Order: sequence, then C-alpha cells, then structure tokens
Amino acid sequence: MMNFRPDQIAEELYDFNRKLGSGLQSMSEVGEISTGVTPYDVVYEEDNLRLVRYKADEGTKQNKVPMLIVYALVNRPYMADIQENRSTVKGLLDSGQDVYLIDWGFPDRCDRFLTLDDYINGYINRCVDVIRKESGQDAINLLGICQGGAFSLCYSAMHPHKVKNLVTMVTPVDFKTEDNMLSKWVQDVDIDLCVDTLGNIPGDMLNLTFLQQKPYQLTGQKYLSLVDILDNPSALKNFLRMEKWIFDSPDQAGEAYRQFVKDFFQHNKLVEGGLKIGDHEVDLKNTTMPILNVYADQDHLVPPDASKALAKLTGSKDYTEFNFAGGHIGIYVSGKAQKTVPPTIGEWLDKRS
Amino acid sequence: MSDNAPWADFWVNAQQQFWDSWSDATLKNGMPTDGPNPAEFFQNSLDQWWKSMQPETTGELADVYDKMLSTGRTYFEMAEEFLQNTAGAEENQLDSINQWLESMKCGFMNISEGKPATDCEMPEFIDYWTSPVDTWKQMADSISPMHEGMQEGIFDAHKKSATTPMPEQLMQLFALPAVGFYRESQEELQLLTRLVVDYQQALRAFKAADAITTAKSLGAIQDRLKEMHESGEGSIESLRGVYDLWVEVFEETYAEFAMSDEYQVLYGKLVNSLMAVQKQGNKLIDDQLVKMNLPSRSELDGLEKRVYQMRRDNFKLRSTIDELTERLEKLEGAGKAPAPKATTKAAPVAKKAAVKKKATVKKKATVKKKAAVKKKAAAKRGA
Repeated sequence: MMNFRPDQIAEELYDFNRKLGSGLQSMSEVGEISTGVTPYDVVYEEDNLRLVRYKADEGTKQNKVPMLIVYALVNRPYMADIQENRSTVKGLLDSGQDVYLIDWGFPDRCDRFLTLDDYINGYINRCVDVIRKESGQDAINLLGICQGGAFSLCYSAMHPHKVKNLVTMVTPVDFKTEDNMLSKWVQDVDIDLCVDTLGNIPGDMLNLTFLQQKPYQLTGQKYLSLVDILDNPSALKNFLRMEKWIFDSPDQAGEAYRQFVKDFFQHNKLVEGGLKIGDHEVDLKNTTMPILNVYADQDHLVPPDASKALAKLTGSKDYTEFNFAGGHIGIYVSGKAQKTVPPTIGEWLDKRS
Repeated sequence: MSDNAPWADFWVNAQQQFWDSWSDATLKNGMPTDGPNPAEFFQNSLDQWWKSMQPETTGELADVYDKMLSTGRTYFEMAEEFLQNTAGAEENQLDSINQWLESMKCGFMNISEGKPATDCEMPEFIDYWTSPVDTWKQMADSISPMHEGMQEGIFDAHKKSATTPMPEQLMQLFALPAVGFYRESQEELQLLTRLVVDYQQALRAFKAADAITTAKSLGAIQDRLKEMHESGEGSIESLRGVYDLWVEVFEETYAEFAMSDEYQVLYGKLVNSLMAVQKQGNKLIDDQLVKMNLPSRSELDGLEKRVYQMRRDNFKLRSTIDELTERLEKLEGAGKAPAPKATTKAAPVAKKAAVKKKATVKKKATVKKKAAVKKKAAAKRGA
C-alpha cells in the first residue's frame, strides 16, 4: 500500500529542500512580472474605462468588420493577452480580426452608483458607437468573455442592429445549473445588505470566494507544486504572471453588483425572463444575429451546461457551439487553446462578415 | 543577486548534512527524538535565507514566497507526523495509519460538538493546514475592520479547543429595554452587541460543520487506504503521494459539503450576520460624524446618487442633441445637394416630395418677389 521507507522520505525531503534552495535563487532574479504583450492604441476614454485597439502585424489582411472584446468586471482583461505565446488577442489578430477591447479599469468609491444600465447601455454602447463611427460599419462583431459575455448577450438583445455577429466565451446563461457552486453559495446571501454595507464589493472578497471553491488545491497544493518548477525560469515566470492576475481583482461597483447577483444568480432572469436593464426589457429571443458559443468542458466556474443553455433561448437561426477541452482559464492561456480557439473564432467570423 | 550564490551553496551543503544525519537516524531508530525536527529546520533555514533576499524582492514575490513557505511547513510537519506514526510498523502499516487518522477524527468531532479537541491527540501539522474556515477568516478580515475583535476565542480555538457560546443570561442583558436620555445610543450599542453574538453563533455553526467535513475526509482517506490494501491495487510510492491523496480526498469531501443545502444556509447566515454587524458599526460611526458636523457616509451617498442621475440625464440630452444635429445636417444637405438617384421603392415618393417642396419654395419666392416689386412701385408712386 505505502511502498516507501523512512530513509526514502528523508531523501525526498532533502530533494525538496535542494530544489527550493537552488530555485529561490531564480525566484529572486525573476524581475518585473509583465502582463499584456500586444501593442495597442487607446481610442476612447471615459471615467476609468479605456477602449483600446490592438495593432496587427504589418501586412495582415483584416476583416472589415471590427471586433470588440467585452471582458468581465471581476478580473483584469490582460488574461486575454497574458504573454507572447499565450494570447487570445494575438491569435485573433493573426486570424485577421480588427480587435478592440474594453479595459474597465479599477472602479473606486465614485463608481459606487454605476448600474448595469450604465455599464451596458452606457459604456458598452458608447464604445460600440465609437468603433462603428471609426470603421464606417453599421454593426460590429462582439466577443463577450465570462460575465462580459452575459453583458454582450444583454447588449445584443437590446441593440441587435449594432451587432453583426456575437461570440460568447465561457459565458454563463443559466445561472442555476446543479453544478454551479458559486450560484449555490449566493442564494441565501442578502445582497442588498452586502452592497448597502460595503458600498463597492472588494475584489479581495471575490478572490477569496473563488479560492474557497477548491481551498486545498488553490491555497496549498499549488504552492507546493511551485517548488518543482522553481529551476525553470520560464515556467516560474508563467506561474507568477498567473498569480499576479488572480489577485489583481478590481472592486465591483456596488449597484451593478447588486443587480447582477440578484437578477442573474438569484433570479436567473436570462432564463426565467423579466430582466430589465434601464428602460429596456432583455429578451434573448432578440439575439437574432449569428452566434458562436464557446465553452470549456472542464470549467468549474461556468459549468458547460450554464453556457449551453443559450441554444434554447436565442432567437438566432445561425447558432454554433464550440467545445474546448479544458478549463475556464486554460481556454485563454493553454498551448492547446492558442492553436484552436482564436483560429476557430476568426474563421467563423470571416464567413459571416 | 550574484552575491547570494556562495550563500546558496552554503545553504545547500547545510541541508545535505542535516538530511544525511536525519536519514541515518531514521534508518536506525525510526523518528529521531533529539535535535531539530525537519519542519523546524526547514522553517529556520528558509527564514534566514529569506532575510538575506528581502531587500531585493517585490511585494508580489514576497506574498508567493510566504504561501510557499507556509505550505512547505505543512508538508514537513505532515512528514514528521507521518513518520512518527508509521515508522517501524511495516507489518501493520494500515493499523498504525488508521490509529493516527482516528485520533484526528476524534479531535475534529470534539470541535464540532463544542468540546476541547485536545482530549484527543491532534497532530501539529493540522495547525498549518489551510481549511475553508481559515479562508473565511482571511476574507472577513479583509472586508471588516471589526472582525479581528469579534473572532476572539473562536479562531484561536479553531483546531485545538472548543468554543463556549455566550450564556443565555448575558444575551438577555443585551435585550433589556433602554431608558433615559441616552436610550437611543444605548439601544444602538445593545443592537451591535446582539449582532456580534449572532455572527459568532453563525461562525461557530460554520466551524462545527467544517470540523464534521474534515472528520469525514479523514474517514474517506481510511476507506481509500483500506481499499488499496484489500484489493492490492494501487500504491503510494512517496511522501508527496500521501500529500496529494490527502488533498484529493479533502477536496472531494469538501465539494460535496459545499454543494449541499446545509452549506448554502450556513454560508448565507455567515455572510449576512457579518454584514449586519458591519452595517450597524457604520451607522454608529455615521452618527458620531453628524454630531461633529462632518460629512457622513449617508450624506455622501445621497450626493453621489444625485450626481449620477445628472450624468445619466446629461448623456441622454447629449445623445438627443447628437441625433437632432445629425438629422438637421441631413436636412440641410438635402436642401443643398441634388437628391440621389432612386434605388429603393420609397425613393420615388421622396423624390416627388422633394419636387413638390422645391415647387412650393419657388412659388413662395415668386409671390414674395412680386409683392416686393408691387410694394416698391407703390412707394415710388407715393413719393
């Protein structure tokens, strides 16, 4: 059953310490942890928001319909462009897309009363208008990631004439699937009390909630495994880059968080109906544009069924699903994802733009 | 960092010496009883190393290092406990491990029932093992400045001893009606105290449920090992294998608990009761700010709400103005340039309308011109 002797344990512990000793040297030499690698221009700014346009390599033939990436509010968008050889943004540029991205910045106390209406019918809509004007296109391609995917769905349902094609990536639609741990936890939480008490919801609170989903792996085992890669500067840097991203979480504007948790998580209104953003009723039947729904089959944050629920709710007659064999983060950063996800999206868009 | 290279060599050599002697001792006598244990040696040597590095490391790196050190310490503590309980027991290995796990289960069951865990033999490494309760503590500390004081006697006692609920009589005292000139502030303070007690109760319930889950995890490890032993299939080849099995089983058992209705209710109560304390604390501070004629949170919120509504109105107005300007420009453009060639069915109607409009304008202009000529002629005649 346990085939090792005490002296083997001693050897194993020594080996562990040896790796740690020599690896710590490389840890101290790792230097600055840079994130976000593709060059871009800032084309529009408002409050903390920046709309950026990424620069494609010279000579790349670009789709005439530009694409806007709408990232989630809960993490920083450089996950989509985390390093040179692991960048969804770069992959999309290489596939011939003209890529814009909304960087939401870090909401502060002044943003406490920003609502979902302000985010979706305000910020996103103004960014879309800027791109439409700049490109001369009446409608653009929208790519929503995670919570940003839910926002993109709402936007497309409210402003279908401005969206030529919609791509959703690891996007929750049905927030009450049986395997959704986050949703289960939040059902009995008094969100009004939380927002009224805290104002903005601290990023640390969300981080620790995510860690609590797999506490033994994410707060312990992960750091033990780090010792095994300490002697590999490249792997170490990748680890630290991910670590930086995980804990680089913006606070959440109170009012937007209140509505998002209540309407999406607790009342599941995208599925049950009755969702209202500002003056607009949101009905997914109005998402009539072509849709590509990309999900990850090992996603523990947005279970595949939560994403696939879109098939029955959309009004689109051109609906395609793409299953990525991996997890919620792997879909942007794994080597496998680089080879499959952006090219698939690019090809799908090129056929429809 | 090049200056550190000789130090690193020295450190590695020291490690070699320690582990050689430790290895010899374990081979001869099982677990050595004198000299530093592996966990202490690990901690001390790394602490020294880290102190020499700190001026050159960033905050991010320091955080990762702390986590790595803390996990490494758990790992070494675990190794030590494991060896103490299994060394020299090759014959009845499963019984020895079971005994060890049973003592831990006993400790956690005691915690869940509010009894001191020290009645059972609890291993040291459990103190360094990060549990969901610890993650909660970290989260609560990060969002509530009052949390540190509220947890007294609860988290300290997390792993080793029981916690005693506040006596009923004391709770009744906090529920006594307030009287007199200061009754309002007295009521507010009484409420705060009751809310703190509510939170502590929610925390105790969460902690008790977590202790039961931990005991279940230990039972699940026993089951796994028994299954391996009986079937003869699968074996653990290293200490790291033990650690990984430990994490895998704990994670599985915890996930089952975390997806239960019980967890949903406990977690909800935990968050809500903490928020209620914090909200009442905020209110007391706000009351004091008002008394000092300083802006309070609720006043600032009121102002911010108004500013936001004005911003929204502003955006709407700007959007309406843009729309009107665009329409106006189109109209002006239509007046200056010739109408484009008809490409749709609706165009002929538009063209007709444009022609009619032009004709009307011409007609009006002709009438006006004629009237002006007549007026001039009459004026001349008058003169």
